[in-house]
Amino acid sequence: MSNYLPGTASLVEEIDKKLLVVLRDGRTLIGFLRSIDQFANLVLHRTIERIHVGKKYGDIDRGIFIVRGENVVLLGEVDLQNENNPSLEKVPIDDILEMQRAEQLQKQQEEDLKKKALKERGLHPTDHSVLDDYS
Amino acid sequence: MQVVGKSSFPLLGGKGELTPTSSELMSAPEEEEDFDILNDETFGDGVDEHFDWEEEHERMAEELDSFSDSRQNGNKTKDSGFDTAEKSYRSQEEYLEQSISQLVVDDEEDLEDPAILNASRNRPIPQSHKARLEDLFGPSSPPAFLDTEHLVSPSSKDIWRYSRAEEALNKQRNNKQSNYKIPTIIERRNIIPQSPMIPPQAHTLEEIEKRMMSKPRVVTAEELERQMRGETTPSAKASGMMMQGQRYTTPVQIPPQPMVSPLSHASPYHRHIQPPHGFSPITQMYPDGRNSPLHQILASGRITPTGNMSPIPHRQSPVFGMTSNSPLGRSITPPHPLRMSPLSHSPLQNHIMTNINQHQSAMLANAMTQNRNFSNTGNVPQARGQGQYGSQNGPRGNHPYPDRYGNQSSPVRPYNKNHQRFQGPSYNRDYYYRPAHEQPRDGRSTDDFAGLMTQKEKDWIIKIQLMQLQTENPYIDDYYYTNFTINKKNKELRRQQEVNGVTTEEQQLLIPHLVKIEQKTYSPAQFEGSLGRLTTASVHNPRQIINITRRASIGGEEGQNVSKELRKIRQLLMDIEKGYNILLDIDDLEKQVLALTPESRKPLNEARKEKIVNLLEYFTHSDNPDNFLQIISVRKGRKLLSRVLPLLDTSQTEVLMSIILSHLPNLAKKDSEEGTGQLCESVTRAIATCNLNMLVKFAGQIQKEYHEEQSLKLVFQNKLGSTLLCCMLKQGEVIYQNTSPVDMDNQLQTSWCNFVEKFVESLASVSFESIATPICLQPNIAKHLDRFINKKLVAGVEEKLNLFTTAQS
Repeated sequence: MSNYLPGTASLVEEIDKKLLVVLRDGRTLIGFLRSIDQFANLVLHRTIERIHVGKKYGDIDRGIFIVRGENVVLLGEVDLQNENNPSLEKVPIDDILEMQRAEQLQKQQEEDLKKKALKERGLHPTDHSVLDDYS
Repeated sequence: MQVVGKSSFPLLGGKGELTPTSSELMSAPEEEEDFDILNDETFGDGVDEHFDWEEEHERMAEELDSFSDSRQNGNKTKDSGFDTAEKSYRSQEEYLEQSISQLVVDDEEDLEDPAILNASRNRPIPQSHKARLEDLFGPSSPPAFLDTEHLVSPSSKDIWRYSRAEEALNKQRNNKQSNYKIPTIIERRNIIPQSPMIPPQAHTLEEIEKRMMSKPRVVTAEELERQMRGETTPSAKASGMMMQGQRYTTPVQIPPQPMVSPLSHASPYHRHIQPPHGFSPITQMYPDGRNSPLHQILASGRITPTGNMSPIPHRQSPVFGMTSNSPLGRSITPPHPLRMSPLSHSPLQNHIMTNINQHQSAMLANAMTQNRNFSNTGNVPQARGQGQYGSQNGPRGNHPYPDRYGNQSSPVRPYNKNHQRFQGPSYNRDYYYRPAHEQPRDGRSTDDFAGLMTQKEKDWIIKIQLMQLQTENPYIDDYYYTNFTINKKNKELRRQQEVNGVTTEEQQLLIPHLVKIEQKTYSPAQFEGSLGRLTTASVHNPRQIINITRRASIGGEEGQNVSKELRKIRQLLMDIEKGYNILLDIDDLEKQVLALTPESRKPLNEARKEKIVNLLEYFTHSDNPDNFLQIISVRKGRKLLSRVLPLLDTSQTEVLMSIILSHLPNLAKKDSEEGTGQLCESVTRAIATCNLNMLVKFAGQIQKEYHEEQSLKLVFQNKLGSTLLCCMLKQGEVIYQNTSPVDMDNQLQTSWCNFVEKFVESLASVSFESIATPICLQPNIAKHLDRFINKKLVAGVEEKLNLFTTAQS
């Protein structure tokens, strides 16, 4: 808790820190937070998008990101000391993209099966892939 | 002007090919070859070849200049000297040069930004058409209104101030706001609201104040934004509308920096004038957000003067930007930031300086300090960070860790003492944590892109956030946090009292009774001569789109199916709920009462008493003796009882206590259940207020309840009972100690004596294991017993007595 905002938090303290940001569409970005505004729009610098599949991950360099505040789910500080020895295995980007695609496919198949099952039982399937506040 | 189009499109006069698929539109009915679009008909009469639009513009600009000048002529008295100085320049050119040179001085502020490190600001703007440029871009030209340079330039006293033109606009607008009362907050000790005090500060502050004096404005976030962008403020009408729907908010002001005083040093950036003498409490003006009402009251000793509040201009940021990043350690004086609110000095305040107060100031100081520190994450060459505290830390190597930490501690040191008192361990922890995270340990200690966001901008964001936190009724908006902070503060005070031995009143949050704006039902504004109804909704008075009213639920008929039992129980629960509502009302009244003068308190106090009576009546329904029992059987009922008990006065207490005691056996059964513990406490407290008469009465009642057994054995076996008995004895001891035997009624004495004897007898007969420990120990019981009982008997029960008197491991 900062001193000038007792009882709350502010992104001002996170400026110039390396942060991990999770977006609403499920992406994970890691970058240095350079600037913010009152809507929590973020300017991320030296950003990488990290894709996780199982125990493996791959990074894509993205450069500078400007993220609209409403799309941020959460963000947190990256532990610079421990960040280089996670229990995860880093793989080249192409591989991870492949794996991601495969994972998506599998998920899709599962979803289809579930939908089918629901339909057979007379229940109306709802689409959970879109996380929308209003539907 | 005649231009022949080179395009292939025929309609534009070109001789393009007509493809067979071209539409009919392309061939006009007339002969298209003769049809020249770029003709005089379209472009106007080209007769006036001597018309020079540039000249026209010049003239217009001059006019505008004179116009704005004439407006400012009326402001001579409040003029800060900026305008008059300006007018002395013979030509616009001179002025431009001047402002450029001033710009250079300002440069330091942004030097930290590596992106523009290489850009030199000293190069004059290339001016090919000097005169024209001035007109177009000089200070009096229309775009100048939008020029942020004016905000940034050091000749404008503060960056948050509007340009002078906007000022003029604002003065007009401010007249509309004279009706608004700014909510003020009072500290408890200073019960009678006082008129605003004249600051006994250096006269420079007064001067400054006068200059800055204008009607207080309530700031909206939008206006802040506009300020930041340097735009002209919106039309009076629009802002007026915004104000209307706006509720009272205490305007947030980062404590205004005193302006450059003749006393202070040459550099325009040394804004702190005096060393802090205890950080005079800045009342409302703290950007403490939600805490501003809280802390200010807890801290300050007076109301913020309504009229005296400086206008929104916040001027402290440039200082910080300046001091932190000056590479040469220009401002070596430790950053103690703002604090010198010109308005909040008063003898009373100085006397009432509390920790919170200092804490507050310290807080902001540290906030700013920390801000700077954090923005320096491993980035800025250490020299800069040190420049700030140069005199204190001395040069350090390039090792970021201790430097940062060192940096933190030095400004903290003067404030730390006060700081820690309030926040305690968590605060310390915060400090210790930070360094670990701030610096990358991998040796890359410079982050070239850090500091992209200037301190000004950060402060701006914080200001917005703080504004969002402001509230005029903290108990409603954030009840738990408010209570939490108050309790914490009181705990601190209590602890302090123990240490110092000084009794200070416990502080309570005061919220003055504000004159509320009537909530008018929305009626859309209508405009003359417009086509249709234009929408004038804004954030503060949103348009009602759907009108939904709740109809009373029509589910009454289904009640028939519910059994009588169930209905009874529900009714009971409802009654208990009503009891709680009354409790809440009493609570509210108590809070409101704090802020008022003794006269105006009367009606509130009366209302409060009435409610208490209501509650009592609820418990003591004589028509239904079972009522009490029923209430007691519900946990919430027990809790209600324990909360009501402290509110009663003596006679009422007596009544209620008798009732409680008459139901003692039942209550005893419920010992293990929730709610009885609290009851025990309340009962304890109630007994502590009893006189002998009442004690005897209670004693009698207890005995009556258990008269079959002729012993109080059972009473000991439950917590409530043993607590009761112990408390009674303790109170007896107190009474006996304080009153001489002459004053006491003999009869009462004998009855009491009997009771005590009974007590000892029962204690003797009860087995050791079955005694329930009272909630608090009463060491004086033994003493009391000695008065009445002979030693032998007492010795017999000594062991059991120890249960009551000494802590058992």
